[in-house]
Amino acid sequence: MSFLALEKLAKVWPDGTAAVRGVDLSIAQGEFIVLLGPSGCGKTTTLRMIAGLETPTSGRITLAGREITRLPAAERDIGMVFQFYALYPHLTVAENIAFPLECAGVPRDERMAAARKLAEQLELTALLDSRPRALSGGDQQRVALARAMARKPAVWLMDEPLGTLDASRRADMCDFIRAQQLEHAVPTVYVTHDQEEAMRLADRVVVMNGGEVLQVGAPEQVYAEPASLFVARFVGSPGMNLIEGFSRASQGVTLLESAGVALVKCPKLVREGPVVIGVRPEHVAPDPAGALRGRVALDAFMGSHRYLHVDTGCGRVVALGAADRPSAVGEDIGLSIDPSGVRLFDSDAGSRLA
Amino acid sequence: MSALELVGVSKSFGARAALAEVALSVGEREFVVVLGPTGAGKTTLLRTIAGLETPDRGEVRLFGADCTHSSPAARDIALVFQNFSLYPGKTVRENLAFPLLAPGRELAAGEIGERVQWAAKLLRIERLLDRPARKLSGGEMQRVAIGRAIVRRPRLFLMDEPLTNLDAKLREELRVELRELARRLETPVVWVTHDSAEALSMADRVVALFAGRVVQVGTPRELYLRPATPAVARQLGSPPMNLVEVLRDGAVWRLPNGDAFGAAASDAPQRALLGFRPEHVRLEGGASEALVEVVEHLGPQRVVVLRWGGATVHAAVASSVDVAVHQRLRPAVAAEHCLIWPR
Amino acid sequence: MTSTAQRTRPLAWALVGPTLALLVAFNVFPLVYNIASSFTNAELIGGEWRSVGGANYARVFEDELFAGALRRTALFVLCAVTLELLLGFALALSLQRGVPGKQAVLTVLLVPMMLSPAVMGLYWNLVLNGNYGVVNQALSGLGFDPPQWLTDRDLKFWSILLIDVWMWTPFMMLIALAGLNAIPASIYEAAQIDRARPWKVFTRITLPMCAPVLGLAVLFRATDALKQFDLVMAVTGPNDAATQTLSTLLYQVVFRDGSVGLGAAFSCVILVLVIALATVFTRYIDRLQSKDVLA
Repeated sequence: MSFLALEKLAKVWPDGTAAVRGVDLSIAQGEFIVLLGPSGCGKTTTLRMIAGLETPTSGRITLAGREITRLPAAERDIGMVFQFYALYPHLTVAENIAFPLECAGVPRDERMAAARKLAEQLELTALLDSRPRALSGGDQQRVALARAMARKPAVWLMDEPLGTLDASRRADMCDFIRAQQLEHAVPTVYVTHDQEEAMRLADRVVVMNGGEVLQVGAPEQVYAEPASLFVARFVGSPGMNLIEGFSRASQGVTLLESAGVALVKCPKLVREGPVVIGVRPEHVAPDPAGALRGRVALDAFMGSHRYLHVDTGCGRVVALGAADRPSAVGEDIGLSIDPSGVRLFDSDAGSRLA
Repeated sequence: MSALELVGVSKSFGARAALAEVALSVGEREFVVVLGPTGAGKTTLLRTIAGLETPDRGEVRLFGADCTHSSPAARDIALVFQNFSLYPGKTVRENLAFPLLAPGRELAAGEIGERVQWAAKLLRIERLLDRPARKLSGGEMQRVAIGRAIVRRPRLFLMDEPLTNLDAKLREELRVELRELARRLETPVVWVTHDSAEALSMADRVVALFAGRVVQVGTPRELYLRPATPAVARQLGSPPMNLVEVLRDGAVWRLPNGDAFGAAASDAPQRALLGFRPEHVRLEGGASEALVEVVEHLGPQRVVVLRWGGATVHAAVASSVDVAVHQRLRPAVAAEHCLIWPR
Repeated sequence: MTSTAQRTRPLAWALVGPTLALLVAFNVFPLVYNIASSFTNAELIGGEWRSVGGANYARVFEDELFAGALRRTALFVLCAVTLELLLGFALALSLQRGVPGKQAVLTVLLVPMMLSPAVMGLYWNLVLNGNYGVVNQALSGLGFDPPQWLTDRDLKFWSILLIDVWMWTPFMMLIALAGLNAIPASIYEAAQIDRARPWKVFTRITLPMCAPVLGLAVLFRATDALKQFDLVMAVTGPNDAATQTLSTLLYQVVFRDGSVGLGAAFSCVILVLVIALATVFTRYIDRLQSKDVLA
């Protein structure tokens, strides 16, 4: 049963631009949902409508069976972590964490005890008497999280909470947030433009673009079976290789060609004609005997592996290479494509064919 | 000859030492990435090279000439900032032409137009040339900002976390584009970042800077496999290197709660910090049991967060490997993949 | 090795020198001269100066006129600043949320602040005039007994206070508005999410976050009101005992009585008071800056 539901939720700004165009989404108790998309895709507006910080132009939001579409934020039962933390700068860490309880009329001793307990859980005890300004970004973020947790709200909302952190701190905080969410089993809606964060955190990822939901699914599903060209490109780092090509039936299999090269034989049958051939870098391997040939434009070492960016007759193709096998820029190499990794898209509509 | 050489450069602000005895050399076509956490002194280093700060001690040499005290303008260096710093009311074309109009750069109008076209083409912003800068997206603005740096054809590029304020996807695209661009321009680059992916994938050499000191210099692969300090190990790689406190009990390393980790050499220290990469953690064949806390699907690989002997350990395995949360495993790490820092 | 700072030192002196010279000529010298003459019997109209030791200071502290002016000034500062703060903050709060025609309202409110106090004094002289002033005509039209705003012994002090409040409330409002606008919208959003009621938001967020800037405005206004001179001069003149502030008393002593020595002692005492307040003021600013409350 859905705990939080969005039905045909839409937001049009006063100047006529549509930020969100009819989003349907249903979130179960305890589920971690990540809204993923580029800047301006409507993910933050959607989140702010759930929070009650923006009023929807149309559509409905229900929380625990109660319609909350037009309720002010204070009358919804939510906790929120803001992009730039939005901590109260003049209050101490303890007072910040206790503020939602203060607003609920909890006596001082009681709420300070609660704040101390939360701080202990989030390893903030040493900072309780400091002011937010004196804290590092990661610590401020944990205080913001503690504040969002304090009243034990029904839902957590998080608006790009890790955007301002160093890359190395981000990974730790990611794990931390996920661990807290699993422990408290509070349904969470999390907004980010970083597909890696989305993959790490989500039970289900909601890929958005242009104010619309393009695909909803488990991270591995969205990654392996993208529903459209946009999702294929946006999810994954680097995104899926997308090669303009042609499909032809040949002896019971589909032969995929591009720029006059027979790329790969695919056991699935699709209609003949122009297609976009999608294949992830891990399904493209350097292979001296490979049919697809090209010159290495960039050899990007990634630590445990490397990505070879190769300019071929059918455009730029990225292949996954072994960490201990560097290639020289300008080198001619062959590539082979693993047929099991091939996904086909309609070249006009961008939708998935097979 | 090196394009840039720093010899024993120190700089303090009041009592706080921002740079301490920094030595650095950049080859004529080299792409050097300075990697360090926030507050390590990276920006001060760039500003010192650019001439916006004067070092307290030490020497800055550009193409063999001492220019420790020469003005920024005399150094012929381009600096690109994290925030895009364009003239918002001017068009992209005007923004690009601006550095060429500075006094002392007498260029014919035709030459200016040519250079602007050339830069716009390289950065693929030709169609934006007549748009005012304030109407650009973040990625477009940063391209224009870099365009403003390249039209001058400076002798050296300094880049101060130029991708930090961009969306993850754009960051990844520009990483590739800018690395190729630098190669085509044949101009040395000093690129400052805290981002492991940028350091690993872009650098010819990485300079690890911590608390104002150069801790290690080497190729990305050298730093990745043999980080000099635990801090360098944590800064590189995603997920970063596992660091686990262990005690030696005869020929066995013991984890914080006493569980066996694996074999230890007889001459190993009694207490140590063990470092090992997530991709070197196997999920079976180990000496003790671990609990799977989280499984993350990161595209081609799966990251498994393990609770092992009182420590948290990340393992990266192929996405074809089946693991479930709450499963019990016996992880193992081969001795040759462990770095040992005595405690 | 020479640092940049060392090389540019001559230039620095060349740039700062003229200002320093002017400062010495017009500030330091008069100050020293003033202190010196406060120990003499100097008169405005020539005569020979003779040292009188601390006699002038003794007179200042015994003089009932001085004590009265001090009391009056203190009352003036206290009342004016308090009223201006309350009114200005209230105005700022009501203008904070986009009121229709906010720009026009702001412009109108700022007019009094931009005119010279002397002009304001003359203007209010007309408005509050006992016989033909607009206020009293309106009051008598309504059947009230019109008060003598500017000549009634018990009333004229408050009239001047009223004019000061009228002039400087917009200033307080402007500063308060800047303080209010400096509070990020996300803080209010966080408070909404935390279910803070409007009164809670005001007392726990708006007020404490504005307080540093308001404090600054209060100190600024207090030092200014302490020197109150021009309004009194324009409305009732320097010699009216009912409205005499420290500055106007000083004027009376020196320019009517011609007692330069006594006046100098007077001004030294006032100077000490102003310095005391200014010290509080600068300490406060330093503290704010070290806490990064002000950008």
